[in-house]
Amino acid sequence: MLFNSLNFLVFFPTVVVLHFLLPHRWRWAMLLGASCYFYMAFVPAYILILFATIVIDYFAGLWIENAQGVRRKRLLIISLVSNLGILAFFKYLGFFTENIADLLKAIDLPYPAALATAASNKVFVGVLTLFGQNSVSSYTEAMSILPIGLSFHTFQAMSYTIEVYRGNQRAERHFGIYALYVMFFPQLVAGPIERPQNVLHQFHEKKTFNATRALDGLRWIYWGLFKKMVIADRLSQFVDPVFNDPNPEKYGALATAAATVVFAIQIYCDFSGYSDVAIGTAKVMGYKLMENFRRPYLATNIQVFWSRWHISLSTWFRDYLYIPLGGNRVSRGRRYFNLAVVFLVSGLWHGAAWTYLVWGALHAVFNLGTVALRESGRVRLPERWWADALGMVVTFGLVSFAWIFFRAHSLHDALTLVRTLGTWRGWSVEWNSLEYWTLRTGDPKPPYRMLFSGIGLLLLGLGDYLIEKKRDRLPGPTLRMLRPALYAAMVIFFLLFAVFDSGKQFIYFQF
Amino acid sequence: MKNLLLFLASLLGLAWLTERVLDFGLSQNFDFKSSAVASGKLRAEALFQGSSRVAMMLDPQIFEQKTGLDTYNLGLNGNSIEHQLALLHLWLQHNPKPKVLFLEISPEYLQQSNLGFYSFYFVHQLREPFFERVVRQKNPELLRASYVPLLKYALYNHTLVPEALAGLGRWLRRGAGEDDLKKGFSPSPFVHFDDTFDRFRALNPGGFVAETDTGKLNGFGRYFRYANAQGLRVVAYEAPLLNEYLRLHRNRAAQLARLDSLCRAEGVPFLHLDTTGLGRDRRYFYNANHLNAQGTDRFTAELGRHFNAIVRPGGKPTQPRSAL
Repeated sequence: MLFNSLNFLVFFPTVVVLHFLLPHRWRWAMLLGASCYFYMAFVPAYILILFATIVIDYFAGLWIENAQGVRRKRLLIISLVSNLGILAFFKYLGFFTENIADLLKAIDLPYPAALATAASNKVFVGVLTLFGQNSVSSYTEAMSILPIGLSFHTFQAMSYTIEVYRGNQRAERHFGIYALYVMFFPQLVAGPIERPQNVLHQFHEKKTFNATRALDGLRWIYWGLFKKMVIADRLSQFVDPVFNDPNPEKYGALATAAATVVFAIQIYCDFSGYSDVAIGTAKVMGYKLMENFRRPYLATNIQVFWSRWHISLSTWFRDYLYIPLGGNRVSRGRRYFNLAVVFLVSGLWHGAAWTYLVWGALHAVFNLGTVALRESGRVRLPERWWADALGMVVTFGLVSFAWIFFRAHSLHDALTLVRTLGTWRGWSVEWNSLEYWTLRTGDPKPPYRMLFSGIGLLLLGLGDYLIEKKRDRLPGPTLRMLRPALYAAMVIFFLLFAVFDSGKQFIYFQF
Repeated sequence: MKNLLLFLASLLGLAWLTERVLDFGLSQNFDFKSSAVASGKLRAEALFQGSSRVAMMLDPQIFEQKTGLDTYNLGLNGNSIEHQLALLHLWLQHNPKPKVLFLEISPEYLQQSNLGFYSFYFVHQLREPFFERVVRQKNPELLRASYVPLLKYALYNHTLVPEALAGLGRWLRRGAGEDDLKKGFSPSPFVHFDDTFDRFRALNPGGFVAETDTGKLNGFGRYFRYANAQGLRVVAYEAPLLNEYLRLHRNRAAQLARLDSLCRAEGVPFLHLDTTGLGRDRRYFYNANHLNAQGTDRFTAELGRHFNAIVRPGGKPTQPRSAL
């Protein structure tokens, strides 16, 4: 189920009302049932995959806790291999098989290449058929119907067994609550990727309705949906023409650069919007999820960017990959190697394609460059505002450049876009191409919308902030009148400026 | 509970008020043609109706220069004849009758009866009986939504909110009127021929056969009969299409014959133009169905010459041209 759908508008209030009406001992069952329903709104049969990982990790957790030494380690490995195996099968089989086949062809072994592709296709299609997906004839056709959010809940499940293994988390005895930890609907399909220490205990605690907290949660939901439906979905109309059909004749350097910057904003609003709705949804019911974004585009260097962007994933890689590889306690060369591995794996986590791998590699290069520069002591910027501003601009530029590979449909498309960026055909041609780009978006009279939605947004945000800030000084009746009126104005604003007709998925669902 | 009630009351009140403001904004924006028509301020001796192939391909100023007739372009994106008929009703209710009514028709419009109809044109005038009738038939959900304040605007906010805001801005500055259009004409912003036709041809190398929706054909018949009943002199014409595209349309001759026969039956002259060979040259088009600014200038002048030479009293319409 999409957060930005009418179904969710009915689903969520129903779940909240039931949550607080039911006695505490039944809430987990209701939340688990609701989460199953939420997930099954996409492809129902795929819940079996989730169920399989839940069963494996539940028992793995219990056994790991009771085991010692090598047996303990072996149980962890079995759990991790099971989780990663499922992920590898559904997400990476096609990518690896095709690349191996290409390699075999390149060394003049076409027969084994065809055999490998055909065999893995057959296995893949066979498994998908078991899940009722009969329309697929190869794994290249299956991208849009693969289990949604697979990478998210797999990583969340893995963090549980790893933490139990490390002794930081007691194994959960209650099967239903463990299942809810993996399946909790607000963060099930696109995170934040939670840790057991943060969430599991919350399902055992008795929650009472708190109006202030619920209001705060609703505010998170509102701004999250705002980012998604008002900003991201509108901006996609500017991004899609350029990235879906890279053509230097149509869209020159200026238009391509503009579309790239617009995509950087779109993906931030799309993904952080999802996280905000997830956090807000959980908050209304009394649960606290971790922060996932902290103004990443204000980062003054690429390392700061990664401490603010998709925090739940970057800290996951830090805790479960970078530190186990040796972290900072190894030689400089090894540290650089570890850093590169983390970013390459992060790229691959996002998708089984060379574009994501190159995106990860670019971030590895940016990060290594930053670390190397800092450690060499050659570049020292003064602690002044302009140096921070320069850092922000450079970081945003690098991140936006890397997004080209992330958003492009293929490496060929990405390279075409990069080449276009480097080909300047003169101001008048570039300006014409920019005009053509804005016209192609089909967005009528954009300045009016931009202007009014910007002013409206500012006024509403300011009103909300002032009421919150001055609540103690405002007379009771005024406060009581102002709040509902402001929220009503926010709903109106949303109705006027959100995109309702496209039903666009969140970008990160595909991961 | 008190807060909730206050919130709902505020929401309802604000939604109602916002809807009124948007209705007013749209009514002041004459780029939104139904608003211009409903204002009752339009006068035209020659009135042009049709799809985007009129809206962007007929310059009233050039036509006026050639014919001396005061001209208004009532073309509307979308090829639904129901649009045109509803707008004609509205015109005749609020404005004087034109001397000549031009309708652009083409075999292109005989297919896909559910496409080419855009409900958003009628959102702020849903209580006009002919608009209500056509929307009830084509998009009953919109009518239902119109009973919840603001919902009808939320459904089409992408188009209507900027247009309404533009109307309010225009009203504050100069009162109601046109902003981007010139006597209803919306000049094409595109100059160069884009790649949509080449892609289409690559997908249909052997050409295509277009279905004929008799409902659409009947729609043209209803339009002609209504115009005749109102005592209007109607002239039908087909604006140029790229010849390369016409060659792909394998049953064009048959479809054109049906239109010819309908026009004959209703006593409407049907002009087949493009004697200057615009259709042979991609330079005059931005895609296979639409002329660019240069093509539009030439075509409008040609239509004016044809009108003077053939259709004006004493003249005869051209004979149907066989399909290319």
